[in-house]
Amino acid sequence: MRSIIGVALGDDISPALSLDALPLPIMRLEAADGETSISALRAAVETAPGAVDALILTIGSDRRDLAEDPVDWNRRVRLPLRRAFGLLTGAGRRFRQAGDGVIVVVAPSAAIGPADSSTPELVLLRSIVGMAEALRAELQATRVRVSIVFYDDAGAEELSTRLAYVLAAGPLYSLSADISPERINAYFAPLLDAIAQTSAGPPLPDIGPMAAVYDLATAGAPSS
Amino acid sequence: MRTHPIPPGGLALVTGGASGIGLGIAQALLEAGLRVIVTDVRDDHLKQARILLGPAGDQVLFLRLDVTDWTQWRAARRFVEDRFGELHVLCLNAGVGVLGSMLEASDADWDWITSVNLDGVLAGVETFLPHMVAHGRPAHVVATASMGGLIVANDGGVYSAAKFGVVALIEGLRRDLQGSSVGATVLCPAAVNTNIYDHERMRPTIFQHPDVARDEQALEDSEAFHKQLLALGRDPLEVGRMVRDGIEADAPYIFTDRNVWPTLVSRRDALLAFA
Repeated sequence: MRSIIGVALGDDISPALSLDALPLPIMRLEAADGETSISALRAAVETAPGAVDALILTIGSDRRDLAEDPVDWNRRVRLPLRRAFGLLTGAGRRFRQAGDGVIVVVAPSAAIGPADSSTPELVLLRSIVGMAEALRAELQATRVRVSIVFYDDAGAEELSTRLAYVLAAGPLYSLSADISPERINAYFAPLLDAIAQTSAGPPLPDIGPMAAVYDLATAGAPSS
Repeated sequence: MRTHPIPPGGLALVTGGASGIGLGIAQALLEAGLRVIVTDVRDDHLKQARILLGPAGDQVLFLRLDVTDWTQWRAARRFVEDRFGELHVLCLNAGVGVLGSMLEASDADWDWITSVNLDGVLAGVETFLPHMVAHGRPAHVVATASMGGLIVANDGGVYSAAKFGVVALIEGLRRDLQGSSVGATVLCPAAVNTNIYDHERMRPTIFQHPDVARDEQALEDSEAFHKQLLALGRDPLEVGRMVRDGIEADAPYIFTDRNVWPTLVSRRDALLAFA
């Protein structure tokens, strides 16, 4: 791997500090600072000079705004979500054209339920997780990998160690220690209970590989 | 604290309420004795809904509402407050079901899909939730997400980004509203017999691609395929009754098809494999 584009989303840049410990040149995209045009964000990534093999998008924590009233949805959700879309799809286009590459979204573990962060932060994080999973699904037939790395308060060193592994292996997820099996099950249990209480709908024809991105072998799961 | 369901005689507002799932919800709420304001951006659907729901008389009202337009949201709130005083059930159902490549999606694609599917829900919450909390009577917010708000496919990234956000919004609101008189539920439908297949044709001019001609043949083929597929899906009125029951039960989630179980389990298991 030759060099990485690093972009921080949000005011909290602490997760971006983990990139400093990676033994690779990190390129900051100044052209993307404050930009909200999707086309311009894509162009900034696609035309960034040099041999770039990865883009790492780090999302800061927004917990200090827990009690904001009224909520500024534009600042906290709409604009950062739009920026994430431009940057991630710009990287997807660049790496698809190049034949390979790695796209990494680094997000607070609050993205995984049950909800324990502010509602605007939860909306933003979950939307970006859905976006990243869908981007991985869209690029599944190529050599471009999209990974989601969740972080807790373990610190930059722990996060950079996991980032190094993710850049090399390209798994679907890398979970922080606070995302335990119990926590995952606590989120999914009410969802699955609600489905279990529903009657089966009419039989439908096969419409293709829905949710194929979660297949354990292709997700690069350690236990597969 | 919310201790009892919405009583008959309460007022409901349903966005995207003149066709599909929204119309089914409106019908089910009318059956339950609520007065319903049916809102929709499409005049043709509003006209058809007036005919279909005509027997409900003055229990149903019709209002043109584009959920992407803040001016119209404010007007809707004034209409509710001036004419009825209180809103008790808010169903944020309007959505567009447009799929396609994320990498090829234009600024206009993003703007249209997210402005309806996510911003339209946020705008409804911003407009009416303070009012519903303030009046203190039992009330409920229902947002229509999708199974695409919990799992992804390879051709719906923009749609899923918006719908994942809607699921998260309701999960957050349920927590935030604990102890208040307002409940919140998210509907995650799978295949339902609606007109979601023709949404590309209702794309407003401001969200059209400025320099790309639409491939009419490809669009017709896609519509025909999805129309045939969805004709096998759940009846919208049946889904509307599920929503009504979900409000009564203050359910966090409503699904329309047990067959989605394995797909959601596959996502859970993928996460568990990395834990």
